Amino acid sequence: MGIWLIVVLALIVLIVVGGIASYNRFVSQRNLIKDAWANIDTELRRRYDLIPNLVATVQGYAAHEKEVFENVTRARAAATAATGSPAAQAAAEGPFVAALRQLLAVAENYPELKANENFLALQAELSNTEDRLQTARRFYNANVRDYNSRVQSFPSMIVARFGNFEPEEFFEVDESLRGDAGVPRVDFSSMSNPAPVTPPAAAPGEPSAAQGGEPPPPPPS
Amino acid sequence: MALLWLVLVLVVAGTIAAIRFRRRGGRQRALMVLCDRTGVEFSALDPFNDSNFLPFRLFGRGDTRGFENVIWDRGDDGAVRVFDYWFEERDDDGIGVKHDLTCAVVPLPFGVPPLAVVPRGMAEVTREPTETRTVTLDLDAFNRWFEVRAADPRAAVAFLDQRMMQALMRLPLRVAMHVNEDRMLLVAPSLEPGEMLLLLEASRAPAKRVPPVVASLYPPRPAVGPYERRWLQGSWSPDPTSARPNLSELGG
Repeated sequence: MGIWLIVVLALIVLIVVGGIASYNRFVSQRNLIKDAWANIDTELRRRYDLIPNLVATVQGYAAHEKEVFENVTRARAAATAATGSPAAQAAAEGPFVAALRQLLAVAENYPELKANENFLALQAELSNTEDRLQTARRFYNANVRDYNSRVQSFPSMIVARFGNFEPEEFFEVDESLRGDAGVPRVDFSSMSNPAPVTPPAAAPGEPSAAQGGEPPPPPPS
Repeated sequence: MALLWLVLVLVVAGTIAAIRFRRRGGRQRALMVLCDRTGVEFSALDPFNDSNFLPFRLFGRGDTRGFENVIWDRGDDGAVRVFDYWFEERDDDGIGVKHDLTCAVVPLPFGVPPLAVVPRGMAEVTREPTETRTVTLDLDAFNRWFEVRAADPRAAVAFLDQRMMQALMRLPLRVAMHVNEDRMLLVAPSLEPGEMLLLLEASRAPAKRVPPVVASLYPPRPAVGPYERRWLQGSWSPDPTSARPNLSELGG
């Protein structure tokens, strides 16, 4: 009888200790997700801060493209004001990215603008920011994936329910912005002067093939 | 009778030592011949004075250690090189265990925290003994092949994008990759001479595929001076807005 009591007590202690460890791990993961989201927010703000200079530079060469400038300014304001869930932020990013692509497509029509040092520097900085945003997004989604797996798996789901740990949302790019084979489409239907334009090699917000956006081949045997 | 046993033990030990010496010498000669044929520089002893200062704890392990059979491309400064590294660890009873490894060192234009990408099932001796966290990436095939450990998981995610993971899966040799500060280290159990030349050629591929964003997020360590302290605090970069690696400096 005494031995069975010890066994039962030991099992209870193990369960309690395991539960505490699992709860603490949930807390760590949730804080890591918050930190990862803060990184995304930093990169997004960094990108938004580039837009006024970019618009001013393009305006100096293509002042008549007013609708494009208004679109990107309006989309930027909406994206900047978006707060709350990653899904809401991702939804606000969609129109902003589309407007930004349109702005860069307009710039392709003006060789003098493309050679402008300020424009080139802004473009390089924008590309760098997109890369950093992509990395921050991958890091955030990786942490969310691990956290959600634990929330939904047994037996950690029991601790999750007791501790009110809910699944987190991923931060994903809108699929409607993707074209065939991942190449983004640019809508010229609203432009007043639809001249033939070569799409940019690395569109903002989308991983290019050089960045590994294409699906990986199967591993060699 | 005891004297006979002693003589027998000495003869056996001497024979084993002679066989090992001849085998080692034969391997070295084969490597020398291969290097001569392919135009690769060879040195039986380590001619570079920075090997002991490479930022990897592996090169401080053991009670005795040594670098030998160093190869590098002719006309190159030896920044990218392959060499044999051995170290011997003795236990409390004085019994030594010797480990023979082949390593490749490649310079990188940034400074990341310790990161290890090790093929699953690889021998423990090749692992860097650093405190790290296991990182799971977004390519399942890669996660099945490799175990990724990093002091900073964000650095691992930045370093290992799709292209980089594919490059590592396509390496022709089974090697562990360690990255610390501005050096990449590829480690494998002692390789044959032909495989060493293959490693020299293949070691450049991962370095060329490092995402440019890594240099922006983890700038290279500045020279000793007023900026070094801020770099150590993680708050300084020479040009955080356009820091891109000049991979052409790696040659190949």
